[in-house]
Amino acid sequence: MTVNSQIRTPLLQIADLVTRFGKFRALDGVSVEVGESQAIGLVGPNGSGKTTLVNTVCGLYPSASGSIHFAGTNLTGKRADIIAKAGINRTFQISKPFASLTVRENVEVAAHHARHPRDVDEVLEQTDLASHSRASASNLTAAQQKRLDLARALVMSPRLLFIDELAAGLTPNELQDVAAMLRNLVNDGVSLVVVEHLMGFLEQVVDGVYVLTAGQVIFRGPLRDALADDRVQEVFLGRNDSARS
Amino acid sequence: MSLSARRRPAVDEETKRPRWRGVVSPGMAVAIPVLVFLVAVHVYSNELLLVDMAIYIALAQGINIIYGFTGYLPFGYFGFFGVGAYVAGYGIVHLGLSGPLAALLGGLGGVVVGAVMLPLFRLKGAYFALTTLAVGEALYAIVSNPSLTSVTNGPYGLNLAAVYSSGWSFGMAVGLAAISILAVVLIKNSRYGMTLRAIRDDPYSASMAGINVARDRFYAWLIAAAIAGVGGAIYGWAISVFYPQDVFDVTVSVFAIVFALFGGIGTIWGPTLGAAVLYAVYNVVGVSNPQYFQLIYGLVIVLLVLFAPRGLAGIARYLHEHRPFVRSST
Repeated sequence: MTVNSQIRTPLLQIADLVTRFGKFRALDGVSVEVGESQAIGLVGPNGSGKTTLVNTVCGLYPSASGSIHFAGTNLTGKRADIIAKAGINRTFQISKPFASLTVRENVEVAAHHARHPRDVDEVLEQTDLASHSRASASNLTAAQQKRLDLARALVMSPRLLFIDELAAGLTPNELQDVAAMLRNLVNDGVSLVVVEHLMGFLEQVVDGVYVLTAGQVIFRGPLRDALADDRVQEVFLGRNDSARS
Repeated sequence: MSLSARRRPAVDEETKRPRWRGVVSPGMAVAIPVLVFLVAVHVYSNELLLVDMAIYIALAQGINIIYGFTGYLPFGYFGFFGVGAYVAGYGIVHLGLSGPLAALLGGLGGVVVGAVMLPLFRLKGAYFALTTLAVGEALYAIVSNPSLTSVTNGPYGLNLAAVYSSGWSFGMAVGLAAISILAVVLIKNSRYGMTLRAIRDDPYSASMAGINVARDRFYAWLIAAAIAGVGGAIYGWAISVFYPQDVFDVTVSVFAIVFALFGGIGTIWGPTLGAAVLYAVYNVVGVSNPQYFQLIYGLVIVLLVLFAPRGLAGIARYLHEHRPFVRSST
């Protein structure tokens, strides 16, 4: 079973995406498909292009070539706010709260600009931030700020969410809670693309993974198969034929 | 349901402050400066100084809107000021407009130049600040160019003495200050103000919150440009005779920025207080002893950066939060 074999009509279809920084091809012909209510993982070593892929799809970096289609609409080269209103949103590897606003204002400002806003209080409850709603966003812990990123994304009723290393720095109990919350999102119809290094966490959340290295997809399929794949092991463990022989 | 049951509680649940403060305090931010000017003009003979002070309050609030709410610092803010003065002067001299109408035309001139400068928002930080400075200087070079004397009167400036009206120009200057403060009050207490602060904190993150960053920042820029344009127009009208170097003067930008920073950027009262205090100091010390004035200004800026980066408003807030006897809310 592969990731793609489960998808009839992809919600997100990325085809041959190339992102360049000068002459360096950070993404080198990446193709990814994500279906409705599907959670996939993006894994790969540091510098493999995972966050660059998220940044390109979400409008921060322009693509040099390739295409991004979402729910039948071509979003290639569109502005980030248009992409967000179309139903794609994200969290950040290094959280980006609006530091001069309160927690509630952070979520309210996104709700105000959303096409189909959710109830702010409900989202604050869902992300366990209700008790901090009047606190300044700059006074939150790093983990809370990551949840605030998530709350700001959720209030816009996204159909697809990129989750960029939300689990980093969490305790085992917090990891369980976050994994459950993400699975609930999938059950509610939200598709997820989870960028993560913690395989145990990914196993609880995703249906399959794409493995990237040097800006290219080298594997797509179930996580268990990825861990047994020679190419994936070589990328993560540095194993090669000469070392084995 | 009884009338008393429908009445809103007197205390705001979110801020725990009396609700009347939410209405009265912003209203006072406009009313008090206007009242002070209306009294001052009867007890202080130098009306032109009061006109200048009112215009600087407006300019400091204009800087507050574009820098305090979006984080873009325009060193070339004087460009709008100069264009406003010249467009209004052209309207008076060649179109026969009255002073107030010409002032509005000057504001429109500022808006048009602001719109032309839109591509500069591709730049950030010091690059943006310095490029706007270059645009301001370029506008000065164009207007003062002797070969354009038939259009701009070149280095010979404009003479508006025929329509001079001290009362009207004073009233317009105070009105502009009031409108500028009111604009900041409305922005700060609106969703648009929240949007601008989100943009200032993190533009990309704001985009992912569905905010059209370029458009909303541009509106703030145009409001600031209009204020400077009208300010330049009223200034030109008030002094009657001016030359390019009088209105395309980087000192206008420096003063407006320092006044806003000294008072407290991003606040309602700060730029008003900053402009009133520092412009008064400038006229007490700066005109007669410019060398001491520069020393005082330098010291003020150093002390501000070191000990009160949020300006007078920051100091006031600190003293309020650390006052010795605070009533318990219980």
